[in-house]
Amino acid sequence: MTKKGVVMIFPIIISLIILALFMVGFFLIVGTKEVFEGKGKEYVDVSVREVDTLLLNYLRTPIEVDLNKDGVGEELEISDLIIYLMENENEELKEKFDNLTMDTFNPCFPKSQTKGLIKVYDLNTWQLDVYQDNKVKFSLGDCKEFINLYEGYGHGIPPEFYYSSFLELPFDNKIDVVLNVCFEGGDPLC
Amino acid sequence: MLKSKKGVFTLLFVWLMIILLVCIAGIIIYKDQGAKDLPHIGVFQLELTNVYNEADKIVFYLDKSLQNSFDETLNKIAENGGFYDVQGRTKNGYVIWEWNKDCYPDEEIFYDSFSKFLNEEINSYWKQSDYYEEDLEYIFEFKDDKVVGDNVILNLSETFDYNYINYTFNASLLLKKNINFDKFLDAVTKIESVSSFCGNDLQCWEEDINLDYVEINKEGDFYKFDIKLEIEDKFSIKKEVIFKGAINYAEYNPLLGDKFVC
Repeated sequence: MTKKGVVMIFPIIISLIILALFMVGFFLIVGTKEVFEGKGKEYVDVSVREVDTLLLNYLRTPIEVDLNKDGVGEELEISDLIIYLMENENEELKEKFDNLTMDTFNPCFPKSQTKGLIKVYDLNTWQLDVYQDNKVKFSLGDCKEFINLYEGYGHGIPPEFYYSSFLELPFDNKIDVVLNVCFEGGDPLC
Repeated sequence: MLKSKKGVFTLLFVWLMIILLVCIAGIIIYKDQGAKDLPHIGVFQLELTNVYNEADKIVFYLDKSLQNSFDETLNKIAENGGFYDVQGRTKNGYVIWEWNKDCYPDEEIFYDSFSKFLNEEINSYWKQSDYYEEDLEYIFEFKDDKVVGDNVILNLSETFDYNYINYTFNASLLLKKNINFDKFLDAVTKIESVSSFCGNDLQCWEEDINLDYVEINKEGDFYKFDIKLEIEDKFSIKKEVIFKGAINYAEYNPLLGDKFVC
């Protein structure tokens, strides 16, 4: 390249360098601002919705129960059984319902386990409360067991996660069904 | 001259670059201002999932309401002898189907009345719900063993008050029920035809009615009919529903005013 050529291209190179510096500086400022304002990062909690789905699926679970004791089982959903139990006191049926609920939920929420001397806190548990007129009509499962156990081991802290899902059922006086899920670590849901 | 030309080009190039940079910066800043109101990636999708979950709970509530409402509607329409409105047409707990003039429930009247009762009942449950904002207006259709309530759009501004999209959804309902209402309508048609030639003659009635699910009781000139249908309630337990209708052969005095409005 001739001297003339170098002289001609020199201002262009300088201009490009200035431009590049401008752009780097600009994007650096914009980028830093986004990081400081938390843009581009968002904590999204979807687990509550998973508990919602779990509760809905549970209430829609089909069951066959011989309600009128004629030897033929009636095909119902768990939600129907809850309404039936609100209308009719039936301890035997309540016990059956309790066991059925345990079978439905417990595989989803495995109990804690001990590995050698170390207690592995992946205890997951649940509690299903059925309310009417803001009073608990009956409860199944036990979330308190989880909290008590936690406190008993000297942690004295609430469970890491405590999710609740709420659902209404139509009745003379509306029934509210609440599913509480307490767990720490592991895969909490089925 | 050449030096001066080169200087001009360089200056022009630098200025062009500065203008370009200012333009790019302007566009980015402008876009950034707009982006402050826009959601991050995945927020639309999450919002949609939340709406779906919430809507699912509402439809579940309405499904169960329909199930409960069906039983209650059946009891009410049986008490009303197949009608929705029976003002001025009842005596001793029976709805008068004939008194000087005919007033029998036909298929159209029966299903229309059933739909009105069902909508009323479903709204009584809906009003208890936390989601309630306004009454629902279902028109139920009866197809074979199904009850279908269609085209009810829920626009719940309080429940679905989300940031980016306004949501409405169609809360269609379907209930499967194995009930033969034709049995009731057939009995009504039979009673109407027997009445035209038997009149106030109980023996003739007992010979001609020939339906084992229809019971006739006579009180003077007042004939009471119990039409018994077996149904499965919301817990799939079989029980009996009695449709009540009557015919009054007592003399009708129009001078007392037309109390018997059909």
